Amino acid sequence: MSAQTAPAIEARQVRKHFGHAIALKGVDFNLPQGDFLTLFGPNGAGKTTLVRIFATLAHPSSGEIRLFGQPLSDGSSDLRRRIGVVSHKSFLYGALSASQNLLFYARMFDLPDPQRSVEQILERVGLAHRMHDAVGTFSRGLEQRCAIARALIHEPDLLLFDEPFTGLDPEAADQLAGLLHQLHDSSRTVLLTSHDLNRGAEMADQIAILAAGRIVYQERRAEFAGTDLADLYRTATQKGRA
Amino acid sequence: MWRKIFVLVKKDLLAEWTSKEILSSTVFFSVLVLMVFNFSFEMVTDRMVAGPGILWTTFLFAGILGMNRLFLTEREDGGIEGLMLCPIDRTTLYIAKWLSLLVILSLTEIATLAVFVVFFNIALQGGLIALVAVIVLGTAGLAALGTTFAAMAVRTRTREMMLPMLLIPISVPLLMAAVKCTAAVLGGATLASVGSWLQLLIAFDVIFIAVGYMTFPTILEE
Repeated sequence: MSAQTAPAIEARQVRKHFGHAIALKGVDFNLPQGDFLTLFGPNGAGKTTLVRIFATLAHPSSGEIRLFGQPLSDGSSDLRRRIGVVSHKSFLYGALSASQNLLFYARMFDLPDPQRSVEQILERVGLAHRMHDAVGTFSRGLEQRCAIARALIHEPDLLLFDEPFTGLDPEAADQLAGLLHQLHDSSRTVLLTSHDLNRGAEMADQIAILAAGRIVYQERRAEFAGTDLADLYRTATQKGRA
Repeated sequence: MWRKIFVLVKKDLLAEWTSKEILSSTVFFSVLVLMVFNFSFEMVTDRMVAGPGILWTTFLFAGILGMNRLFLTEREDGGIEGLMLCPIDRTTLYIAKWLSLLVILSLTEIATLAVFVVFFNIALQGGLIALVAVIVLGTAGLAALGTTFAAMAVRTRTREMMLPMLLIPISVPLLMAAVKCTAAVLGGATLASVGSWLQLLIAFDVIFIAVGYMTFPTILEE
């Protein structure tokens, strides 16, 4: 399979344990390039652990993962150029301004014109007017927009959003949803984890449900459209616990 | 790799320059510790007997404060994970953090040394270069231990206690060597007269910088 047609994420029997606690019990997962997938699951199901593994922040205890056809164990450092991550943590420094933070990341990703990239991305997320303000002075919504700018600055092919709506007020959550729609339209591959069934499913090409460390449901929009998501979620998570 | 290290160190120093969180606390703490020692040893006629030990004790405790703070800043908003998402080896992060800590500890020590010279009425004479060499070697070792252990301790709930508990016992050989070399220099002797202690200091630096370099990726990921 060529790198262009290989799935963005391909996971086979991925397991992860922390001492005696088992977080992932053999996850099989496939996300084609250009798709938007929302991963649902109860607290402690292993969503964050799975996203951290895909983001190269943690190693699986066993199993095989390929990103764009390349095994994760080979050259993770280069693969990181193709990944952008947004979580409920901003990965930003409160003492530095938005532009200083983004300039730092632009230089870490070897962007040819860091200053210009920073200005463009701040414009795109609607933060140009606050570029010289310290991130520590931002509201949670503004900080999350700056975090998205950080994740997008190197134009990654794969975006991982780990519960990005956490702590956002309804207005900030709507703005974030708008940004996610834009990303979907830009044909990037997006993996979003969320507890919000309606919002998560609304923009997804596929949804998956992770329960007790296993993927218990994964279908495309045609399959889940029109079904009662709450009922589907309840049945799938009960199946996972059984 | 070195260009990335420069960018990382510059970011740490810029954040510190803006917030002044680490230096303000370490320098203030050092001055307070030296004041306490100054009054405690007021009646001692030959204060130079205890002087080098006091100086390195102050460096150590102020250093622990700085190490904890530097890594806590990274931990607070997931900064360290942001760094781990960059296309660089984890070992590059170790060198950058070690260098940042080295600069911050050195700045604290310059201020501490100035106060020490005044309180303990030290005449540095011709030994300043040798003293700087000893302090740089001792600080390099402390920063190596601090980078490794602070990255480990900052993930625990009892981080304020964990770092000194890990660092102090292992730093004993380094402190002994640094105190012996400092005492020789302040007593007007050459470093050659304490050659074996100097060798221990250098060996400690080499070993713990190498250990930190090799273990840091695992510490970050697990």
